[in-house]
Amino acid sequence: MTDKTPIVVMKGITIEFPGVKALDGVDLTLYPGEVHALMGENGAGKSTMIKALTGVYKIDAGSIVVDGKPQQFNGTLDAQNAGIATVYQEVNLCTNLSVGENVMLGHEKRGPFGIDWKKTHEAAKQYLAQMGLEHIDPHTPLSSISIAMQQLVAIARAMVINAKVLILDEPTSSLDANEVQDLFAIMRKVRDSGVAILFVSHFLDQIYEITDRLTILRNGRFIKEVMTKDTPRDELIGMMIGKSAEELSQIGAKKARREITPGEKPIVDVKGLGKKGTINPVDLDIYKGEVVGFAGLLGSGRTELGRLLYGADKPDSGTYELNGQQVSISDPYTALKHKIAYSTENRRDEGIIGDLTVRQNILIALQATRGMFKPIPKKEADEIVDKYMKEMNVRPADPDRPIKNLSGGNQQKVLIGRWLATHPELLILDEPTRGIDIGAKAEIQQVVLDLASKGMGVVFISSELEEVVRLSDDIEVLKDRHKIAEIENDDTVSQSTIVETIANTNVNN
Amino acid sequence: MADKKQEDKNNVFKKLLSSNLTVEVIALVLLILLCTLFDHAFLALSWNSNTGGLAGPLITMLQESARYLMIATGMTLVISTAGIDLSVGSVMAVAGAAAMQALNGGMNVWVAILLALVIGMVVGCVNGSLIAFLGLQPFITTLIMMLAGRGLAKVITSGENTDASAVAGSEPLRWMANGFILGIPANFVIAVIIVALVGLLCRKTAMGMFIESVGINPEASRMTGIKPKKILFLVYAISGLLAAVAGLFATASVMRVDVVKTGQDLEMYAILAVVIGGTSLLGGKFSLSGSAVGAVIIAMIRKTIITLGIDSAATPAFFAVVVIVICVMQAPKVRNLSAELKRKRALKAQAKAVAA
Amino acid sequence: MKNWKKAIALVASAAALVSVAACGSASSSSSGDSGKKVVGFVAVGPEGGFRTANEKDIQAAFKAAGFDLRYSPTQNNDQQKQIQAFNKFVNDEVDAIILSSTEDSGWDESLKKAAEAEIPVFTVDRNVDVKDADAKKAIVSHIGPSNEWAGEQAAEFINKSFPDGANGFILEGPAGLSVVKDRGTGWNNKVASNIKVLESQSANWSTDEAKTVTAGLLDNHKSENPQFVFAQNDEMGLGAAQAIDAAGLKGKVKVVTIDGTKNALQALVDGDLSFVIEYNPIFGKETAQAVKDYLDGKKVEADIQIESKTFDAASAKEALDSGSRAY
Repeated sequence: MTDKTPIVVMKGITIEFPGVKALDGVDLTLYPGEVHALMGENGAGKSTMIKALTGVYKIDAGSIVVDGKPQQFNGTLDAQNAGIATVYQEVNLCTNLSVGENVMLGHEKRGPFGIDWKKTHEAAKQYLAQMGLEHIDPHTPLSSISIAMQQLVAIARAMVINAKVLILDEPTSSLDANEVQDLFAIMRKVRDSGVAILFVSHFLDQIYEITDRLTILRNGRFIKEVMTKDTPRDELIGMMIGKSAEELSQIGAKKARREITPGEKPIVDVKGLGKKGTINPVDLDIYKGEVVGFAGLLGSGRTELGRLLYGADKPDSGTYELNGQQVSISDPYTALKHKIAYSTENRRDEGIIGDLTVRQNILIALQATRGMFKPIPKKEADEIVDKYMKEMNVRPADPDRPIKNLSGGNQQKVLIGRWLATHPELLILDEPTRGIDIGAKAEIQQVVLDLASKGMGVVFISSELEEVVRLSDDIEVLKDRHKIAEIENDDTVSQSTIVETIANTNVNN
Repeated sequence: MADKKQEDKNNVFKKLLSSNLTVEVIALVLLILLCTLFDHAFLALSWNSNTGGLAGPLITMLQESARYLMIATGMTLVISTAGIDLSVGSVMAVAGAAAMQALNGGMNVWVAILLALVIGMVVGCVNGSLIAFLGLQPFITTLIMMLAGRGLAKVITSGENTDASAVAGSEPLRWMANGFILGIPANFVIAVIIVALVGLLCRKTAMGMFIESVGINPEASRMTGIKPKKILFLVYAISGLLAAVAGLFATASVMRVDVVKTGQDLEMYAILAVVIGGTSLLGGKFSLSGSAVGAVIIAMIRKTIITLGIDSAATPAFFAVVVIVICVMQAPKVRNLSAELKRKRALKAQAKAVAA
Repeated sequence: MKNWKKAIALVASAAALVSVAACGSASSSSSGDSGKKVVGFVAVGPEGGFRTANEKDIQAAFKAAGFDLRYSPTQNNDQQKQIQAFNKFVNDEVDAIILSSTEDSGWDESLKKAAEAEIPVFTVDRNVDVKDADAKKAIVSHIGPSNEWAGEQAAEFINKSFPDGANGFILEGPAGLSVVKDRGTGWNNKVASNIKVLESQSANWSTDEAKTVTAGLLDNHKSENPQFVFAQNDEMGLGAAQAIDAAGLKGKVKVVTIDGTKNALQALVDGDLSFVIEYNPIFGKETAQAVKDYLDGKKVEADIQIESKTFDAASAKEALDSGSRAY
């Protein structure tokens, strides 16, 4: 394959945002007729790289050569004209038009009286047939077909504009197994016609099934380009998270495991808790003073399980026992009433209430559990705000500032303060250290250990295995929306244990 | 130390300048000055022994502002949740029609008042249920209620403009709209008291915070245990109730309901008052005092139109111009104009330094 | 349980029958099922006492004269809806159209269509302003009391009341309506030179607004000793009277209004108003007669003026006591 001429050569791509280098000298080479995956953890620079190739961002340094011609993209139109087509996670087609109109948009067949719709739809049908989609009537409104089908239509459209490169950014995240197979079938057809496909997905199994070559990024830097078939999974994960396989197995500095005394009752004991399409039924128990880590890649279901425990999503199967009592946790209010709190991974959209002050953000959950018309007395409120701002070391120490003006780390501390103010017995922390600076990260990790030592049950969800291994007593490993293992975290357990577990367990979807 | 004091002083000054309320008060004073320029007796107050209260242009203005105060207060809460209530004008007609028709039918005046309030609140609850529990869009829902409400008012009065001015025993209602308390128009006093009560309810309980929270980020609010649906239902119910009070003010003023004209277009005035008051149509933080001054400004603009003798064809245009000028005065871009210029200069200098 | 089912079936079948019947009548053209002549009435709909009385009377009179009258009211003075209703009547090929228009302009196109379809149009109450010659052909006759005449009566009453001259205000309806223009023209035609109108303001036909506006005007022009208010309709006159009362000027400022609703007459008796010019809404019989004559091939006058009365306190009491007023 290497003897072919590459269709895209990106060299030394650097993109700077105020204060951050999002990409630092990244290389990417795409050959015609291959499926190439861009790999990396969140924030590694995958989407920035795609935006550079599609002309959304202007590059600050480096070169892009498409089909032998150096390119300077000043916008998405330039990239499209150069033959680069993109199908996003959220399909960007016109749902109010027909399938045929969408496929042919801008390339409608013309007759003597303007657009000849009959011919246009016939042409659309041909394009669809080329992709094995002859069963779709081009006259059906796009809005009436499934998201998966819409993606296929979007790919057909890319063929109409004669794309040389097709970018598929997380196309499978909302598809079921059959739909994924349909998509792969079409991807293979497109690949065989000589198009280069750049593919991004968090599902490792899919990566190994469909891709030929991988480019691995970490923290905005190029790590390595490898052939998929020559790269074992644990090595790939190692490269993605920045530790070599040997290195991973050596880290293991951690505290003494909290041992469960025989006959002790767990705080939470769930059996078969699940929700269709989100997470398959899980059994789980969490004891007083225990830190339970959820490990798994993005999309493995670790967040979804946390949300089910909190009632943020309604489970559709399973039983839920709290301190031996059968309960039904159907919404966050009930969860808080039962002394369960959940700190979201999505701080901006589900966590902070941006225009409210730090003080209000700390008090709001406690207030909600007490009821709207039973205001927390001012003196008590002052004490609570003061206590948690100090305990969490929130800076600046001004409770009357809108929370949106704080840094990410301090927002996170305020939010943890909010949940602590409700005095939870079980605290679920979803990615509490993501996207915050090193100092704040260490502080939050310490808080987790302190809370557990005071008897609180803590669920610790993180994409950083190192953290999970260091802090947890038990580790629940998830993959592709299944719980695949429960690991008692003793001295024999390391990151590589988990990596191997994930890599070596196959999940039947 | 001295520096710090100076800084504090500057901050107070800056805060005052940047407050919406300040801009509003300035706008109000400017309008009053404009009127005084045209009519030198505009500020004059005299004692009217006939009504037992003060009389003068400002007093009639306050009298008219009472109804705007009511609907603007309800609208503020609704808009804070990122919603809108277009039905307040129609609810005014419905409540007024119910009261007038009930009085004509020989009902006790207090029962008639209560009936009007209950009907207003019921319409609000219907809005609230459709929006909160069925998830319909506020704009569409209340637009439909705006049309349906007018129809309902017509059904209540069989299409007539019911007149209850001759009904004996209706004095309490008449007094509500036309009477005076210590020389000040009773409806204005009642309205201010109601606004204050709503303000206390919002700020002394957690209601205000919850409403704002739902308006800022409904999903994050749900995650804190707030029930956004209940909050939505509540604000529309309150808006309906307050619109009914406004409807009583409007109809009791002449003891007559005009099924087509009562409350017509007033939803727009209420929205304008809220916007002038500094509450964003996108929801979030609200200011009841801002909306209250906004409501008085709306009444003052209408007064200015009469005082200046502006041609009736040109009144909507005049109204629009004044509101736009006030909104421009409040635009953060305008207010931060100097700060913005400074920032830009600094950026340019920095860019130069980097290039060098 | 069975009874319920039966009842539901019965209601359903009844509803089906009714809808079939409705379809039948809607699609019937020039002569209805029973051979009745079909007349379309493009109406204003509920607006106030006058309008209700007027439209009820027209409906009753046409029924009595053996016509099949199709009543189509609009809402909130929406002309667009009226035009739609008008065009539908033309498409249905009715025998004649009665038009009570909310606005005086904007009818040319629709009238042209009516002329093409040879459907005679009778304008009632409010005249329309037509530029197009073809469109004009469609209008057979205008039937209604004269707004200009009513305005003239108001001016003459003020002239007579204040031979030495006086100052006052006019409360107008919404700008742009033909009624507002005609009543204003009538006033201007007859008003004496020593009667000075300090200010004209629109109070939007509304009692409530008229009260506010009048209170403002009284405040502004206190020094000029206003002595009269000419309100272009009763509703506004009643509001003006309340403002005058509140200002302690009852009896010192004369209020003249046009329309002659019961409420206004009562206010006249009570001394709140001084003079009311009737704008007689009862001309259904005349309208039905004109339509009938035209369809029978007789000649019909182009302008049929309906006689109206004027009231002072004494004649108002008489009229109220006789109990003959329908509105």
